[in-house]
Amino acid sequence: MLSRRQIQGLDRLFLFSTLLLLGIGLLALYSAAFQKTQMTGISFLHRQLVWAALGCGLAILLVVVDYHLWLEWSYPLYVLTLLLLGLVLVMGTVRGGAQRWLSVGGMTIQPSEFAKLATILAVARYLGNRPPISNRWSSVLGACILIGIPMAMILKQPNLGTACVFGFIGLAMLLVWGIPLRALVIVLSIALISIPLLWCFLEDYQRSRLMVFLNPNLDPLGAGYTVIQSRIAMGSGQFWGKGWLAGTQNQLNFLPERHTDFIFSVVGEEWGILGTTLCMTLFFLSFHRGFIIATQTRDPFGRLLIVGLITMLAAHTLVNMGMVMGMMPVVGLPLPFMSYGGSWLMTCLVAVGIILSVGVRRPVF
Amino acid sequence: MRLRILQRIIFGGLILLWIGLFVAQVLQGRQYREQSEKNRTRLIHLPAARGTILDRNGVPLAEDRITFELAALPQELTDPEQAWAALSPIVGISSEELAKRYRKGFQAKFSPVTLMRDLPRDLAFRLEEERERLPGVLVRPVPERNYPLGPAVGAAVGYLGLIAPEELTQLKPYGYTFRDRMGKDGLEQQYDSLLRGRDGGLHVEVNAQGRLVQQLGFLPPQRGRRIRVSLDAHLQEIAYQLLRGSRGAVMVMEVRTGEVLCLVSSPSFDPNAFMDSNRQSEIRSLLRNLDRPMFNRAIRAMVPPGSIFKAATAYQALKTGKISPATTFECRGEFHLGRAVFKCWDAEGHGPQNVVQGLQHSCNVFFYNTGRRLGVTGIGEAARLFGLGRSTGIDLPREAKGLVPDPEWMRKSAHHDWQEGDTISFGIGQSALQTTPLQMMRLFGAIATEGTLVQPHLLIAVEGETAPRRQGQALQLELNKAALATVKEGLEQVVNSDTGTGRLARMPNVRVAGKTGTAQVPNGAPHAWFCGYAPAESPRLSFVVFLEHGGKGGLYAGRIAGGLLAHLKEMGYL
Repeated sequence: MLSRRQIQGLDRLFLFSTLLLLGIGLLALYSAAFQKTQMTGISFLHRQLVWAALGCGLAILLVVVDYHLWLEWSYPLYVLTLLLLGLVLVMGTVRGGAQRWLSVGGMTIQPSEFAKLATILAVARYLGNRPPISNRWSSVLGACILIGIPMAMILKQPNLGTACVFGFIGLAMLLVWGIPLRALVIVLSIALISIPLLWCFLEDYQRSRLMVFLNPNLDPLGAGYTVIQSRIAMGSGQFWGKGWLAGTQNQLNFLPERHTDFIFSVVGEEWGILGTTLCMTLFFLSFHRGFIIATQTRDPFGRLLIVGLITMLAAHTLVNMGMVMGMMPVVGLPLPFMSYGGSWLMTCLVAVGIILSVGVRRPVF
Repeated sequence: MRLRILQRIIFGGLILLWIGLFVAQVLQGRQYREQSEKNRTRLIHLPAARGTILDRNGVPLAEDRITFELAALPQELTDPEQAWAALSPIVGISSEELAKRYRKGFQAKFSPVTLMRDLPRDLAFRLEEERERLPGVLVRPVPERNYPLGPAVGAAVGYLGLIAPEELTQLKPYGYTFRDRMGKDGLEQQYDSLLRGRDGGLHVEVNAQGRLVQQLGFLPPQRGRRIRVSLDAHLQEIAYQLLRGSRGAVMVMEVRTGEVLCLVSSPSFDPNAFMDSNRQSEIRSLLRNLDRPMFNRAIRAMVPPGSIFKAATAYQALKTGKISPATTFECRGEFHLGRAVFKCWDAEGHGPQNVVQGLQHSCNVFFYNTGRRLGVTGIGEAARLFGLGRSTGIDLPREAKGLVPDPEWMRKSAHHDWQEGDTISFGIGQSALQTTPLQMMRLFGAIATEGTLVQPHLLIAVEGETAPRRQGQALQLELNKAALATVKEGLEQVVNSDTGTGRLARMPNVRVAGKTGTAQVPNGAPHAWFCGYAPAESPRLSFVVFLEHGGKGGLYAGRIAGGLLAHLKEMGYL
């Protein structure tokens, strides 16, 4: 149980920002799914509310329980998610040419989301046990292997976006841990060299998405359609927005995937730059608070954990917003707290719980 | 400190994104707003019906009627294969054929593809009932040009076609668009600006599937103007049947007003074929056909008139005193000029002939002599006096002018000097003289009316205009009455005397005047002509029958003229 002092140490700004993002996300989702709900009767909002409630409960549990317990369990958890990822490759559900989902009793879960958490825990424990003083090179190699295995399995699904997120998380954690600069250069160059190699292994739809990113008008009704329509939606929101439930791009069905990956363009269209700036400010605040907790904590495990989690959230935020605005290729990464999807929302809220958990246990001056 | 680096990278990214947002939403916002407006609205083109062309009695020669067509809307067609399979038993077309038509007709996702045209009414209703089962398939009403008389009016009415790209650049300022059909020949072309309506449009809001959400604006299409022409639909059909598909033309004209009652060219084409994309092969064969069905012989054939021109020669010779009504020439079947021999059509000869007999028997030897006395200038003057060598000004496109030769033309174009022999054959309507059937009919009209050289025309009234359009500008010729009376006597004898060449055109109650022609041509059988007017004492109509390589004018052309006159009488025109 938490002491009174610990409860007072709860980072309220971080909590407030994330909860507000969750609220905005639910409003945007209601608007995005409005037509679909009316036609099919399926309420995306209800489902998302259930997930949010579950996630919040889980987060509270995580704050209350000392996070070191999860670090103890990190390796078994890591192995478990690897097994799940293996299962996905063997018997996963195929949607849109990619095998990413597992069907469990009528529900589909996306193990790659949970794999992010398990890998962050495992890497935090591994690097936290090895101060960057001796055997630094072998530690780097070990961490790279820990990240590389799930990353490769996810790349095989194929899921390019999530695999990249693993790369970002790994780089960030190694950087903060104290990777020698020479090693960093080597890791980065390997990453750069592997890009052309990767191109050969890409599926056709991924290649076309990358090509279309370079020039969306290449295929305006096919792969480029989403980007063009999303950009039109964003831009047409102008300053004040077209109003909630009044976005023509959204309500008239021009935006595909608008309740999941492209939820931010609904915000942009209906709430204008006011809404988008508010979202960005909230994201900024939550990351900022996360970094403050990371600086203040004395626990190397806790710091690495926060770095991994904040990097995960930030990578998703930057890549998702970038792709919604047509500034990045469409790689299918959901926006934290806002995109529809149970696995992802739970992952985000678990991350919030862990960050807060580290926060309440940091020394307060 | 490493933490700070990571923080800066992430915050740097956020700032970059915010700049991107600012550019898109604030700086370029207006532009994107416009695009989203364009996205959500569509302009649906509503074609205007074309004006009807009525004949003199109000019978439609060309009209837009509402037909039903079966179309597929690509963006609503979720499963084409299944749709074809469901449609096939209803419409009785194999699903492969439907798939083929769909592939051929596909233009854009939101533009419907026509699968079947001119659906029978009960089939259209049946399809409409089955609509729920056939998503993406629709039955829509389309105005379609219809020509009830088909080939009988092909030459006169013309046909419609899509605007050629090079024409479009020129016509754009007048409101034509690439999808418009415009008149390509005949009345459809001549009066296109009257007949074409103003297209309308429907401004609607649609969703991403192109489904209609609501209507924003509507501009009703405006029907084109109805016009009335002087043709007689029934007469057109009779004349077309009389020709029985052989190459030629038949025309009838009111001599005083120049109103054309009948204008038929044969073989002809069915203008309906040009409106039906499934009749492409028929159009190709029309264009390849060596009998040239698309060629309007009535106004564009430039051919030697042969003996029917003798009427002009006779008038000119009488007027200028080169001959008198009493002058006779002896015909022994041949005429000698130096060593050259010119034959009369009757090798046994006609014996002594005066001008009336010369016309009556179409004696070449008489006119060789007359022509020689007139000389090339005199004959040319006669030809030009009666309007040959220039267009008549009929309100139809691309009328041929014909040719009246003279020594200068001969030097320039044929590269040899005018010989006396040329004058000899010029006098009987040969040599290089070229006329259209229309010009010859007008010439006979001028003789009949004793000098009214009309401008033949078809249009007589336009919807919305109070004054009738009788645009014919007749030229009043100062003709010599006595000379004309002699010529007219000759033309009456052609038909009404027992030795006349035009006996086949004789009528029991109406006195007909006319002239037969058998024009020699270098490549094949001679052209057969019969040209005349009736009633002889107070002429109302002039007519021409022209048969390309039709043989003897008195025989084949005369027979058709006889049939035509009988019908004219029956219809009350005579």
